[in-house]
Parts: sequence; structure tokens; C-alpha cells
Amino acid sequence: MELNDFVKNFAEQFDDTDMSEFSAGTAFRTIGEWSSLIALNIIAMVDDEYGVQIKADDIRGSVTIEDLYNIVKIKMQQ
Amino acid sequence: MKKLILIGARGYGRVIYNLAISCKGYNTEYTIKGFLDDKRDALDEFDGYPPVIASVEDYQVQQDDVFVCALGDVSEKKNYSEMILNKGGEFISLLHPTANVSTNSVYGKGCLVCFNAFISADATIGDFVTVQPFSMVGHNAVVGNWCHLDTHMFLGGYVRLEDEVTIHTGAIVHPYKKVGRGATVGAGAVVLRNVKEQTTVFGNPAMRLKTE
Repeated sequence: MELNDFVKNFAEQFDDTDMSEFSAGTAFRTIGEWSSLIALNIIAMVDDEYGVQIKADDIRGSVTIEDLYNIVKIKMQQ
Repeated sequence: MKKLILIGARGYGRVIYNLAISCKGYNTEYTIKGFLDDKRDALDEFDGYPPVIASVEDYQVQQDDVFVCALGDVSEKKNYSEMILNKGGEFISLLHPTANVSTNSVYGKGCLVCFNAFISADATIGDFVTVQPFSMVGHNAVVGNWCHLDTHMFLGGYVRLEDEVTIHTGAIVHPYKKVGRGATVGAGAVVLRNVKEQTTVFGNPAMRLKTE
């Protein structure tokens, strides 16, 4: 799993926010378009692309996209 | 007067025959000549239908012929329609009188728009698209060629379907989402994310069905 791919997959769950606004250090909850529906889509994307299940608490406990990437990475190793 | 020929005399062929005789063009623009199907006895059990004339492969297109393709499967629809197109056949679209096509919405040739289908404002529907009864296409949606939109499905505003997409019965595609070429959305699925081409998604939220 590459961090850059994860950021891209994360960004693809947004409809209106430009790709250029996303980087590993982006505090995703500050993005205007962020919503509970996008949070659900992130959970579904992680399941689809990486085969692991994350919970709402994992998203709640993450500030940046890289924080969530690290949680997914650990779960993939378990 | 044109002579309409339906490709496929199976269950869906009989359904589309009934669409054809319900449209305002019936007996004003076209009469119905019959069906093309390699199963020549397909209608033997059923009364009241015109005959199976020949297989699609064997049929020679005549001057006044026009065609619609009454096959539910997207790849079969494309395969058999292209056989007739390659012989110089012309396809028409059928629009049921109860179907609603809103301002600036357009659809191409070879489309079947069934009973109580609703195509909202400023939508663009390509060629050879089937819009089944009670299905709804949202405003500004773009539907590619050969797509099959099954009964009671719903496309939100600005949804984009690429070519050869199948949306099965009762599925919902959230506004602005894109469904890639050749993808299938299962019955009752709720699509909240873009669907990649040549994949199948199912459930709520719709998830990709893994092939391995």
C-alpha cells in the first residue's frame, strides 16, 4: 500500500473538492465538503481497496489522511 | 408505412411487442412485421403475436424495415443490434405515451422508453438505451450507449453512466456519481461511490463483488 495511492483513493470520495487540495497532511475534517456520507464512503473504499474494516472511531481518531493511512496499514498487517 | 421488426421473441420480446402497439406511431408510422429469433418455436405457446420470421443471422433487411432490439442483456443487445446495423438496418426508438421526457432531455436511436418511465430535465440518453417501467433518470444525467436501466431504478441528478452499463431493478445511484463502462449495479443497490468499469457492485452502500 502506497501513501500516494491512499491519498488519491481518499480524494476520489469527494465530488466537488479539487484533487490538488489533498495531500498526506491534509486535515480532512476541515474540508468544506466533508460529511458523514463521505465518512461512510471512506469506510467502504478502505474495505473495497484494502480488504480491511475500519470503524467510525478510526476516522474520528484521525486528523490527517496519513493518520488514517497508518491505521489501515496496521490493520492490513494483523 | 414502415414495418417494425423486433429482435428477440422471448419474454422480453413479448413485453416490447406490447410497448410497440401502445406507442402513438403504431399504425400511423409503422405496422409490426414480426420477430427475429433463432428459436423459431419461441411463440408457439402464446396466442396473439406476429410470427417469428427468421433468425437475426439469416434475415435479409428489406426496404421498409425498421427495427428495435428486445433483448435485456446489454452484450446480447449490442451483438444482435450490430448484426442488423451491419446489414444496413435502421433502428427506431419507442416512447410509451405515459413516459415523461422533460425539457431539453434527449435520447438517441434504438431506445425503448417504457410505461411510466420519467426522464427529468436536461438529461442526455445515448443510443440503444432501455429505460424500463417506472425508472427515473435525474436531471442533467448522462447515459451512454447500450445501457439497460431496469424497473424502479433511480439515477440522481448529474449521474454519468458510461456505455454498456446495467442498473438492475430498484437500484439507486446517488447524484453526481459515475458508473464506468460495462459495469453492473445489482438489484436494490445504493451507489454512493463511483463504480469502476467492468465491475459489479451490490448492497447498501454498494460494494464491489470480488471475483476471486
